[in-house]
Amino acid sequence: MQLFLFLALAIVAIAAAIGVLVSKNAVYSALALLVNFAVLAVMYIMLHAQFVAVVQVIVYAGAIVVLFLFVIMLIGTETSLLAARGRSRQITTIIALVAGVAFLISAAYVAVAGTVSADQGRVPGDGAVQAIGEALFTQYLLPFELASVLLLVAMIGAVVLARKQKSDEV
Amino acid sequence: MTLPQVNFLAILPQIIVTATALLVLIVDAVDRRGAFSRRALSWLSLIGLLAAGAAVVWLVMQGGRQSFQDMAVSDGYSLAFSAIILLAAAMGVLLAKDTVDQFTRMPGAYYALLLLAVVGMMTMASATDLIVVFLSLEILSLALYVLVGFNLREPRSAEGSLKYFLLGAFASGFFLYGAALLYGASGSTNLAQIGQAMGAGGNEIYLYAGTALLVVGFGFKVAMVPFHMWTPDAYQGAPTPVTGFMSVATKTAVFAAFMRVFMQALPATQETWGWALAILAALTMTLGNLAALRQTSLKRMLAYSSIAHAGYALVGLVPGSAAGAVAVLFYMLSYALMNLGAFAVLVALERRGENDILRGDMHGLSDRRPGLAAAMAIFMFALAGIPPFVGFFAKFFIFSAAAEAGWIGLVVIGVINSVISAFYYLSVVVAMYFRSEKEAAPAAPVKARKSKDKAAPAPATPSAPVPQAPALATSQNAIRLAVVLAAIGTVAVGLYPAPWTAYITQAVQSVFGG
Repeated sequence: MQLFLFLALAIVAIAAAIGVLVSKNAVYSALALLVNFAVLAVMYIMLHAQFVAVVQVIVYAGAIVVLFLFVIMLIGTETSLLAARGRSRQITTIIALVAGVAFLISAAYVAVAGTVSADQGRVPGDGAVQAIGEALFTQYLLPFELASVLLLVAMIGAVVLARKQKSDEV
Repeated sequence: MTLPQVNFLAILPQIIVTATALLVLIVDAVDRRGAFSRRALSWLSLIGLLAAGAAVVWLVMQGGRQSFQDMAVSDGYSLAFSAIILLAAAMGVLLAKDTVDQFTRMPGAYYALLLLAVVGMMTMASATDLIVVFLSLEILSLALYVLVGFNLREPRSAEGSLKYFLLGAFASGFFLYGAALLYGASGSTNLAQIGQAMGAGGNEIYLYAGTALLVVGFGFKVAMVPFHMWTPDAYQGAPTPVTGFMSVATKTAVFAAFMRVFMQALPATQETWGWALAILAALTMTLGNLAALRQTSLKRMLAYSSIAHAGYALVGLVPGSAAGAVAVLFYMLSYALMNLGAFAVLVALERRGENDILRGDMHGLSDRRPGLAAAMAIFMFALAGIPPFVGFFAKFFIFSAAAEAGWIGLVVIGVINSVISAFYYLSVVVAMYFRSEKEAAPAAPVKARKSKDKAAPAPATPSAPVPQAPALATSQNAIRLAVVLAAIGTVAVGLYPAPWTAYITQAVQSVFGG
């Protein structure tokens, strides 16, 4: 049952990923990405990582893809990245292909060599929010606080840069 | 669940600076129109930095090693780096005190971002976990992207900021990928545990790939060739006080983490990364110095020179020895003094709306402002590595540490580069002392001069008085203080390096042994 579910989901995920690459319209690409993210969220649940699955939906599928769509619609679909054609695009394709194949080989190597097992990534307590919260406030207290400083910096920076400069202003 | 025992003492300086940054933001928000708060902001920031400095000194007196859950530590090594970062930040605040109103209407945000960048840098120097290294790297980078682009009226500022941001985000990705691979290879993000796992023989492919990616991530931040593309534009476009601060403080923080990660987590592969870093160091020194030779803008020249100095410091990291780490730490101290001094002089000379100093502007400076010229001469001699100034000993320690470990060829390249660098540093001195002002290009505004190559020859009557823009700084006092402090430091540490090296040696040996 699980294997069947996995295979079905994997096929959808790969199809969506290919859709991101090949679709001519940037909006379709973004929507295909959304499908990919949603399928990944289901896979996280299969790995007993419910919290990561929820975050995946809220942050990636919710916030980030919406942001993509906003940007695409703001700059217009015709003038977006698809404008790059010809030689430079071929080179990019080749580089991406090489990097992808290298990644696949290394992933296969890991699977065969068995250095990383599925159990290693399993969060204690079935990935419950409680376990993650506990880890955040005990073992990872400092990174947690640093992340808040990082967000503060980003906020101040956004305010500074987005502020409109009037021509007569110093 | 039991709440852990946390040792806040280990991050006391960071806490003080963070609190100061928040206070600055609040004061700025509450009292927007008041002239009082405008002036108070810089004082507040300075007091916060001094308090953090006092905390650092106090922690040094306490001795020993305070650890925050094995994520960050406060030991002699991190405290020494923190002290240099605080020094650079204090200079950054002093330089901005009377100039900040000229390039922004949001001085509160400026000081707050500068202080938060300092928090990131100090945390980076004390991080013992890859997660903390990454987060602090992001804090300082994000703050610096904004600081570089702070001058909203200046297109170059935006250009530099955008280049820095795009390439920096890319480099952060490299760093994170490398950290992930090391985690995959060792099963831990803690530096000491990675070191143990690697010593016991881990997965080699991941180890080498992870190491290479970390080199890219760190190398970008210290402006190492070939990851230096952003440096000249970002340094030239940024407001000059920011340039001075970031050129010194970023390098200090990143080298601290660079050395700790490579010497603590990756000693198993030292032979490999030693060679890789040696090649990168040779490239960095040579390209930085050759490019600096051709610059007419002093800010751009100092940008390339800072690339070259990153190369020298990198030579100290190549052998992976405690002696090399001592040399790098001393190098960062001396680089902070001499480079910030040079930028302080540039700020003092800068004119409103120009955001740059050309070599021609230095002509006859010894007649106009003899004190400033003398200070600039000291900094230039020090940067060139001429005794008795501090730069000489800094280079000497670096090269002797490398030579001890048998990297003779690298040392030769470094010495040749020092000679090349003397050309452009001394040409500034020559311009100040042996050229009169009349020999300079006609004193038209910078913007007009930039296009003079293509335009018709300069007007035949160069003596026609062209009104100069008023000086950038509303008052020179704070900048004078910065120049004098840097000059005293450059000379004093150069004449009496012994107490400093003694402390640094002890601090480094307490961490790396040797």
